[in-house]
Amino acid sequence: MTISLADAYPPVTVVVGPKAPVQAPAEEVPLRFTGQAGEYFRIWIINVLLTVLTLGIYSAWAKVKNKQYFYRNTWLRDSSFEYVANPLAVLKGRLVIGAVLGLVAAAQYYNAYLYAGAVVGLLVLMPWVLAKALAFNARNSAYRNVRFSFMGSPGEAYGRYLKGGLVYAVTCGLGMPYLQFQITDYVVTNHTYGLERFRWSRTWNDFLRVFLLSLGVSFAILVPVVIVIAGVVGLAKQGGSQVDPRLITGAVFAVYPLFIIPYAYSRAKTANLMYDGLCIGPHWLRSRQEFLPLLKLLAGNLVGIVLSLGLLVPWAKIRLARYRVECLTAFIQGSLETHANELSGAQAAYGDAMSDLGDMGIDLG
Amino acid sequence: MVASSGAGEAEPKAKTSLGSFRAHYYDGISSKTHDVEVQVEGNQALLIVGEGLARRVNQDEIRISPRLGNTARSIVFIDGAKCETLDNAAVDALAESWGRGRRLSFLHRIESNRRPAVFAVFILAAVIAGGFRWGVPMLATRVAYWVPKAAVYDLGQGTLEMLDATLFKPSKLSDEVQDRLRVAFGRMAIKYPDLPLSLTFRSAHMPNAFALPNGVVVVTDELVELAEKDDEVMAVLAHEIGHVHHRHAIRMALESSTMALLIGAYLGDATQISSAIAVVPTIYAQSTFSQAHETEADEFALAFLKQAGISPRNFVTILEKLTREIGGKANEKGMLRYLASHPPTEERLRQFRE
Repeated sequence: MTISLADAYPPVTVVVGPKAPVQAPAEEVPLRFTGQAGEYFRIWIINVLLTVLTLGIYSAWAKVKNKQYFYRNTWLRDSSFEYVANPLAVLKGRLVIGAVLGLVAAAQYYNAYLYAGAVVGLLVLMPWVLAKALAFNARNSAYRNVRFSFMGSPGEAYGRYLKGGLVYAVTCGLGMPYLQFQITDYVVTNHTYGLERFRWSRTWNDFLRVFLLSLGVSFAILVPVVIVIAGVVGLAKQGGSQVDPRLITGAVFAVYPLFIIPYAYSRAKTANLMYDGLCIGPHWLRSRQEFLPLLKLLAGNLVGIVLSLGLLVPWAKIRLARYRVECLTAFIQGSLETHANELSGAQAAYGDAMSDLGDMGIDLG
Repeated sequence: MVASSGAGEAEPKAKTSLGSFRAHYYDGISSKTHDVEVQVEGNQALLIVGEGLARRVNQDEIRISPRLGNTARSIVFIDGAKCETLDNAAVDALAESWGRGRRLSFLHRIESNRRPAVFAVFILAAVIAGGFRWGVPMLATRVAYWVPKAAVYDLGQGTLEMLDATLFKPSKLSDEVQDRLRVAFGRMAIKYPDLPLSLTFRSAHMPNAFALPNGVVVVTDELVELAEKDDEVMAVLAHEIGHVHHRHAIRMALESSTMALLIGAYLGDATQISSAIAVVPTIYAQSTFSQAHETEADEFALAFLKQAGISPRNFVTILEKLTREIGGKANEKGMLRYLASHPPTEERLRQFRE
């Protein structure tokens, strides 16, 4: 799946389609990112340390600070974005969901059938988690003191998953882009900034194109890899008696990083699908992520993280965030003014905690 | 640090006198930006002055956000309006003069210095490495023996049923062979009256034996056929009783979930970059724990066999056969996993040979 909650919210503020009646030429405003790896490293390492020393309790504060750091360093015109979630709400969600997931994990060792049932139960919850997590995130995201919101109901999420999932099942997986489209459309069109609803003009054909191209890139990598491994194994078999299993394991580990290539391709194209042409009121966004620069960046991040045993995680996150933000340009017609909408009460953080802790495949980007 | 966006809107300027600073004012109703000057009225209030705007807010109706790096700082008013400014020095001075400095910049002081960061790296390395080597296994052992017996034996219910439905077929061994092995097993089991041990047979595609936490020891026909005499089977079974005796199932559950939490706290954010990154250390930790358990079960088997008057050589013989058998099928995926969870056989066997 290619929807990321983080993606759902890089600050987006603008509206009206590129083809909407144009009164005045729109002003081109690139988004800017001002985060610094060194500064973020110090915040991050203290977050991790306190999280470990408090046996996870501090993770709620750590999450909020992390998001605040990236939001506040993302600028559109002369204002930065803001994340205002209450760490106590995040903590409450994490404690409850942590307990639930802990019980499910314990079931794994307790009773195999109970565990299988619990896992299926969690999967059934996924649309609900998506709706609730998006609502929590949007409600706590602000720009110029006006909050975003997410209007999508869990019911609609179930409908979209059902429709997409049915096509997916009937076509034996080839309907994947349709499912992706249904979910992304649900995510995008239900967001608002103040009173302005997000709009876009993507169809599932756009997703099909990206899906097929990504598949093509994957095969272009996979086929030579399989041939080389088969060749090596064949040679070893001819030459001697048995094939050392370590040889195969080693070969698999050696080629595994190659799959970052189709990943980078699909990631760049999917991000553009989502943001390019996204409209908010009379303004719109342009997103120009590109395959090769993103591949270079992700490969560098991977090498850096592995060689530094994880100490370069903050550096990697800053680089990636900078790239994503700086590929965005807002086209602004007139001023950025909108009004706050009537906010419903505070959102509980259960869905948010579930998507954070449960690793339910909602992230990926 | 913020470049002008060319819209002609003024940036909040860095100016550090306590008297006043520049900020953006947002009323919380519209997204309109007001460029304002915030004037500090001693201990009581702030005066917000901008074009067409003049507002006085009392100290007790103002919340100042904690400092986070050099990011824009919020000063939030009780009605939901707020000021944002990059002039962190001025806001720090304001918080200080209002007696809120300690609370609002405590973490920032730690986060903005090199020394605590270096310190944190070393503490974390120690916690993770120490936890991995000693802390987590020790803690898991303590907890495992603290858990009531009944709960330990309850673990793994349904596992055998599920395996029966998928991988296993009923045993094709004759009743005579089964009974003979059960009697031999019973003689071993009787020495551990507090363990509810029982032996059962299944047919699978490979020689294997494993113990469930509830004391059910499963042996495959293929293993029995591989053994030339019953003592070889008994040697493997002694090893499996060792797993039950040392409560390895619950210890493994505790160890791997604790390590997963530790690694998750450290690398959690990196999974966005590649989830494979987090998988490698988790698998490494698991296989290390598993090897420690195998060694413990070996030691148990060695002591047990000596006591029962069975030559430990039998263990060497059967393990060598198993290794050969597995080596021959090494291309099959499952075998790689099996090898990864077992210590190098030569090293394992040395103590049994002596």
